[in-house]
Amino acid sequence: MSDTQSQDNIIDSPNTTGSASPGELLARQREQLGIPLTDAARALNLRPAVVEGLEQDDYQEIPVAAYRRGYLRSYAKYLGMDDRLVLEAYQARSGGTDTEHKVTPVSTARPPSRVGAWLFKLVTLLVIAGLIAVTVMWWQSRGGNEPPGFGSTSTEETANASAEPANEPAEAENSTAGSSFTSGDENATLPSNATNVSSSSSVAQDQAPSAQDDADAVAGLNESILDSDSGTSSTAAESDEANSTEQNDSADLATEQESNADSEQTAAAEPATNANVLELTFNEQSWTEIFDATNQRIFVGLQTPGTSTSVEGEPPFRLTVGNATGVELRYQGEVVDLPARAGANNVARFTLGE
Amino acid sequence: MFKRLRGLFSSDLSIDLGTANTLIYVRGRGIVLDEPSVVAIRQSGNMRSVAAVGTDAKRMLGRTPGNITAIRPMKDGVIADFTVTEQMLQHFIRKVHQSTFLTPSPRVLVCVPCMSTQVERRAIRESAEGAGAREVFLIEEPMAAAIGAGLPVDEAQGSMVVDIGGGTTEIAIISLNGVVYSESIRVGGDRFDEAITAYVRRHYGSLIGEATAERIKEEIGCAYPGGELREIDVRGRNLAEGIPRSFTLNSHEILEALQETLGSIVAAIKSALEQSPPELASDIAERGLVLTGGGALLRDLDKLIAEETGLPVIVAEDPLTCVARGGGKALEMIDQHTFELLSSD
Repeated sequence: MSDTQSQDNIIDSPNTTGSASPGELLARQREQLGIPLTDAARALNLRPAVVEGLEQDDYQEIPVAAYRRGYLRSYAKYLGMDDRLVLEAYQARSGGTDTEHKVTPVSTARPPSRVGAWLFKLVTLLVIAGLIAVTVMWWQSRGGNEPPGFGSTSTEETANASAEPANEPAEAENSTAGSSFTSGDENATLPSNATNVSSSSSVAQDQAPSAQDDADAVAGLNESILDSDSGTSSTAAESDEANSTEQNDSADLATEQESNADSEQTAAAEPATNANVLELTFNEQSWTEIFDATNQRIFVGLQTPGTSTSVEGEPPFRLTVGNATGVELRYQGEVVDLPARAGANNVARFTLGE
Repeated sequence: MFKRLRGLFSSDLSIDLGTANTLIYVRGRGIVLDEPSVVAIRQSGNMRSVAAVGTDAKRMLGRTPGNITAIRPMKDGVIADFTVTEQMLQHFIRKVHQSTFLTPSPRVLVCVPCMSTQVERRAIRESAEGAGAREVFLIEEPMAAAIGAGLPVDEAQGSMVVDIGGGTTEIAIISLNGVVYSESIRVGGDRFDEAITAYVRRHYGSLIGEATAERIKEEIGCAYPGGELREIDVRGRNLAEGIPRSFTLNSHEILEALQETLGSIVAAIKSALEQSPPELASDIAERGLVLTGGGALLRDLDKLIAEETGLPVIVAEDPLTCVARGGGKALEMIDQHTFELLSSD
C-alpha cells in the first residue's frame, strides 16, 4: 500500500536523499504516514527515547554501531522504506568509521591441479638427493680428518681410483726391469765369461768331467756363482765347455740359476734401492697420503687394517698419516716414530728424508 | 616439518562448515568461497571417487543416475560422513589457494555448534587435519556469529544472538568473551524445507524435491502474517496419478506449513531468555537480539520473534556470512594471545 508511494516520494525528490540525514529521512517518512512516534517505538519494541534519538541523529542511547545500524534498518523497514537508502545516509554522516569491510565472494573457477604437487615432490626429492650426495662426498674426503678444498675432491677421487691400477704396472715394470737387469747382467757377463773361458779353457776342461758328474759339486758351484761374477763365469765356462750330451742339463741348470739369481738378485737389489722406500704397516684403518720430492702424489687412500705396503719415490717425502698410532712406518730400514709426530687429532704431518 | 614449510605458502582460513553452505574466509582477503556443502560421489565398482563438489554437486542433488550419489556430508550441524567431509574440505581449501605449486597447509579455524559433543568436535577437527590443515582451532558458532555481526562480545554487557543455520539453530547469550547460556536445537533451514515438502504432499498429494522446496521457501516463505500475498508455480509428481503436475502455492500456505518449525525456534528463544541471569536479561531487553544465519532471511522472521518476545530484533547485515566473518576476526585475534574464545578440545 504505502510501500510504493513512499519509494516514489523519495525518488521524486532526490535532493532529500542526497543531503538528508538518516534521522530526517525517517522522521519525514513517519510524518507522511501519520504514525505517532510512540506507536513506532512500540512496534519496534524500542523505548520512545531511542526512536526519537534515531530521528534526531542522536545516538547517545545506542553506543554500539551494530545495533545502531540494525535499528535504522528495522525502522526503515517498518516505515516501508528502502533500508539501503537510510543506511547510505547514515554511512555518509558517520564517515564510514564503523563500516564493516564487506567482501564479495571471489569466484575461483580454476580447478585445483595436481601437477604442482608432483612438481614440488620431485624438486624436493632432487634437493634431498643432492644434499645426500654432497654429504657423502664430503665425508669421503674427510676420511683422513683433513678436509681438502672442495674443488680437489673430485680429482682426488679419480686419482685415488687410478692410483690402484697405476701401482700394479709399476710393480710389473719393476719385475720386468729386474728380469731384464738380470738377463742383461747375464749377457754382460757372458762375453766376459767367454774371454775367461778362452783363457782358462784347459783348466776347465780338466775339471769338467768330475764337476759334471757330481751334481752336488755343481750346486756348490752355483752357490759360489752367486757370490762372485768370476765364479759364474767359471761355471758358465764349464757348461759351455761341457759335452754336447750334457748341454741340456747345463742349460737347465743355467735357467735354474738364472731364476734363482733372479729372485736372489731382486732381493739383493732391494737393499740397494731401499734408501727411497717407505714401508707402511697398517694395524688400524688410516688415511694416508705421500708426496715425493717432485710433489707427485705417490700414495694416497684409506687403508684397511692389517695391510702393509711399500712405497718408492724420490726423497724428501711429505707424509700425512691419519690415525698415526695405528700405523708403523719404516724408512731406510729404520722405524719412524709416528705417534711422536702426530698432532692433537692423531694425524701425523711431516717430511722425511730431507 | 614439511607441513610447516608448506604453511609459509598458505593463508589462515576460517571455515564455517555449515549443514547447507560452507564458507571460507581467508585472512586478509575476506570471504572467498561460499558453496553448498554437497558432494557428488561416483561409484564405479568398488572405487568411490568425487565427481563434483559444491555448486556443481548441488545441481545434481536429486537428479543423479545410479552410479552417482549427491550427498550432504553434514547433518544437523555435525559430520554425518567423515571421509566425504574430509574430501570436501580438501577441495575447498585447495580452491581458495591460488598457488597450485604447493599443497596448502593453512591454519584453520572451524566453527562448531555449541552443543556438539566431544566426539563430534573431534570428528570436525580430524577431518580438517585430514584435509591438510596445519593447526585446527574450534570456535562455537554463536560466538563467531556475534563477532561477525559486530556485537560487543568483550564488554560486560549481555548480547543475545540467534543463528539459524541449515541444520541447527544456535541461541547464545554472550558477555565478556564467554558464552553465558547457549542452546542448540536441531531445527533450521532444512526443517523448513521438509515442512514445506510435507505440507505439499499432504495438501496437494504431490511430491516435490529438496531443491524445489528450498526455492519455495526463498521466494514466498514468510514467518508473520500480514505481508503481501505472494504466489509461486511449482511442479511435482502427483502421488495419485503418478504423473508430474503443476500447481500454485501462496505465502499463506507456506506460513501455515512453517508454523510448527517456527514455533520450536520461538520456544527455544523464550527458554533461553528464561534461563538468562537478570542483569543480562535486562541488557537484552534494552538492546534486543540479533538474528544471523540463512534462516534470518526468511521474510518477517524478525517481526515474529519481536512480537513473541517483546524485544527489539535486528537482522544482522549479510546474515549468511556472519559466522565466517566472525571466525575470520577471531583468527586475526589468535596471534594477539588475548583471545580465549577458542576451545582447545
